[in-house]
Amino acid sequence: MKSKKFVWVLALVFALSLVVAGCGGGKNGDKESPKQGETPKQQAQEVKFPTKPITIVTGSSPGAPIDVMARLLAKLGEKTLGVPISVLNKVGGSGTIALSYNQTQPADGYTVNTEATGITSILQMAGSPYTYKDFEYVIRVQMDPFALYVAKDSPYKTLDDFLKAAKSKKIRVGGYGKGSPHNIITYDLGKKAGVEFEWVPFNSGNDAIMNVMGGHLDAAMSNISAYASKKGEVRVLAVSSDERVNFAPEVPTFKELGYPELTRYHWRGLIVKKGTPKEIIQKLHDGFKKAMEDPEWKKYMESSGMLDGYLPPDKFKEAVYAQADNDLKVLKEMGLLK
Amino acid sequence: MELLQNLLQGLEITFTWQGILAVAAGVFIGILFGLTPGLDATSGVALMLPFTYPMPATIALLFLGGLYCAASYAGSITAICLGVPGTPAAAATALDGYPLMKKGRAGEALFVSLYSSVIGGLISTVFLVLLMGPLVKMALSFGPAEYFSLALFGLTVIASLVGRQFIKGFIVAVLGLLISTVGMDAYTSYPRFTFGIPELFEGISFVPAMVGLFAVSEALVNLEKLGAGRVVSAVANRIPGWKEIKKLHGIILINSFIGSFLGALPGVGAATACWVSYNQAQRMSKHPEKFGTGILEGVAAPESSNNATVSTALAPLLALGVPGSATAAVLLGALIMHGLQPGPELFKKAPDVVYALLASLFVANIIMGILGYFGIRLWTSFLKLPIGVLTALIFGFAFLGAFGVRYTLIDVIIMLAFGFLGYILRKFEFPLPPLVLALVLGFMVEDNFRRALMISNNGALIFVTKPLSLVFLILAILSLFAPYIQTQWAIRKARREGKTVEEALEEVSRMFSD
Repeated sequence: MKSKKFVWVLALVFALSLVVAGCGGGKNGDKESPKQGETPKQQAQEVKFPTKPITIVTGSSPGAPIDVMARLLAKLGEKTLGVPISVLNKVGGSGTIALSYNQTQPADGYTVNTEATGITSILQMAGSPYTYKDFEYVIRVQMDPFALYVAKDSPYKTLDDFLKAAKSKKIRVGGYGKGSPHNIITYDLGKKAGVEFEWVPFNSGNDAIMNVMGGHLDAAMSNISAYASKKGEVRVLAVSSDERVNFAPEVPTFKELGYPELTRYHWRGLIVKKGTPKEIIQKLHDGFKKAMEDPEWKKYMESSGMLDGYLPPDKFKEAVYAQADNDLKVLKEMGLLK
Repeated sequence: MELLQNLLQGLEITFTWQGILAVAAGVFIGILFGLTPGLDATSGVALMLPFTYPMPATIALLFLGGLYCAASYAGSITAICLGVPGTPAAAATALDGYPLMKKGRAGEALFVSLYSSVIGGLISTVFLVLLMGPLVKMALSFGPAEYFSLALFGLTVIASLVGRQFIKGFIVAVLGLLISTVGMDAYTSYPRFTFGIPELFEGISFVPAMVGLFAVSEALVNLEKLGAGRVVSAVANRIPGWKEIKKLHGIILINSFIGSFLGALPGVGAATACWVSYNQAQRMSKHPEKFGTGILEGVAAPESSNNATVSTALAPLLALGVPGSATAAVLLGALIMHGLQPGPELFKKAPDVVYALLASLFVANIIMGILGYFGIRLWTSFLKLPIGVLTALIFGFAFLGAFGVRYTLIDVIIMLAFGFLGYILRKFEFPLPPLVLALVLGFMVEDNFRRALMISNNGALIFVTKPLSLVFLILAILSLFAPYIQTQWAIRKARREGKTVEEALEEVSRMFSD
């Protein structure tokens, strides 16, 4: 008798956990399946898009900054595009898993990927299965300028102090990854100023900033958004935006300090597979652009320290291709590419 | 005083019916996640995150905070009952928890694990509330050199885990270190041992590997004795008396401190803390030889420590927006999603949310204690199932856990591969814990070693000229030679008692034979 009861309870627990654990997967799975039977027929009658759920694929794990962006875009985009939008996390392979997934889906606009600056450097590396040319660019969403961090009690009060010091001794600058956009802009800064920095790769920009704050590292190249949560605890010497950033007006830009070539942005945007009809790209763009006018979106942009990075498809593509040329040049100079 | 007032206000928010419901639901779901091998606090919070978006920010955080606490505890339940750690943080708990269960003392082990977790969680929360500033300062004092020495110290724990199986233990540990080198090399951007599989660029995923090593290999071993009926003949639900619990208070207290301290470091988590604590308890014990044979100290130490990492992991997150653990990183996403930017300004802009979160951590630990207490009878009843059913359940959960985190098949393949590896190692009586420890710490050792050398211009002195780093190096050396020193002492003592060398050696070997 007794053991029977227990078996029931156990079965219940098992079932419950399956439900709980399956929620995430199930949710994504459901929305994936209807896409399989898709035919290119719909593309011909260009007017009707979208007629079924859209999936936003992201290469980062739930809760990561780009995932947060994707989920909010999905939520607000549902209202403007009129179909359910789900987020699918395809984590791994430095983002290539998510891009590979995109390439296996039909070029019908129902699979949209999030991407960021790294696409032009990572996808040019040896052994990468795709290049940035295998995608169409839908809309650029956010920008996060690069920023050079030193400790708050550092002797370097200005960029000038910093570069002068770099002439007489080896200065170590840390930041995310090797061959990353952060690595590239640091290299470019050194070249323009006639100095050479030693690049120390970290697992994240935050890690590098922590090391700067703890006095283990001379400087860190990260993004200005990280400053929003560390104001007063760390000093930013310069930011790579065209104009000063709203929430940190005290930080000068590289441009006004005499380095206009360093005006560039870490960006995030949405891309689709190459071959997706122009009309569909335009509809996606219109929908997400409208979503970005929602007050909830504005509030999120403010709290995350991000800047509005809106660019329409053609301009977005242009910017990416230009960036790719520079990255290729620099990566070769740095010896990371042949 | 102001702090107290703020906390009371936070408690007020927690003690609304929505607040309590959110915390309790978080705790309940957290226990289910923790129980499932492969699913842990990080994947639990990540999977539940999308469901909290429609909730108000405070309620969402109370829910996720409760989930984080409970999932960090519940991994010990399967570690004790099945010898299969439900989370990486509970791997050390299985060392004594499982033998305790085999002795029919599952109820005691489960109660001690729960009790230690609750105390650890509460102490850590006190640390977080009172010492957030100093904790963050301490975290900042850890650079690459310090992390390297700390990780090295962590690796020396292997010496105490292997006992007499010295050679076998080190073979397995080196195998683990080797496996931890798989993946993209961050310093040259060159993929190592990935065989062109992009899924392996980020290395062998740790959680599926651990699920394979413990859960799948355990299930495979079980398959051999399907006819044997049940795992154990008698299961006692007995709960230890106050006298027995009181004896553990010293261990629980020390390891709650160790856990709180390690939790605040962004580079170290519960999976490391549990080993360091297990090692500490064994080193300081009057009867180190009994560790691993099924004693309550061996459960209390890692369990108080791994739950103590939970609250303090939020210190750098709230103060600087830098998550102190993988789970805290997901919570950072939750904060941003709700329009909250962590950092010094959060305390001014949204004090209600911050203090509700802090207050709710106290409440979550207590609710966890209550729910967990009623759970004990349920967990021990698992053991009354026939082996066949139990094995099927383990297999089912293992697949679920391996696939559920990232939805990639490669993780399932990794799990199965490590399952067979674990089975073979078990068959030839190689100990598994050194492999897990090497997988946890291997990357940290290599990564920080190379980074420290880049910073010091390739001068190895950086590891001894930095005081904190030196301290951990000395600890590492002590820890490495401790078994040898203990043996020498035992021999000397035996001689003094007038025994011959042979008798003395025999006594020593008995000490380490279990």
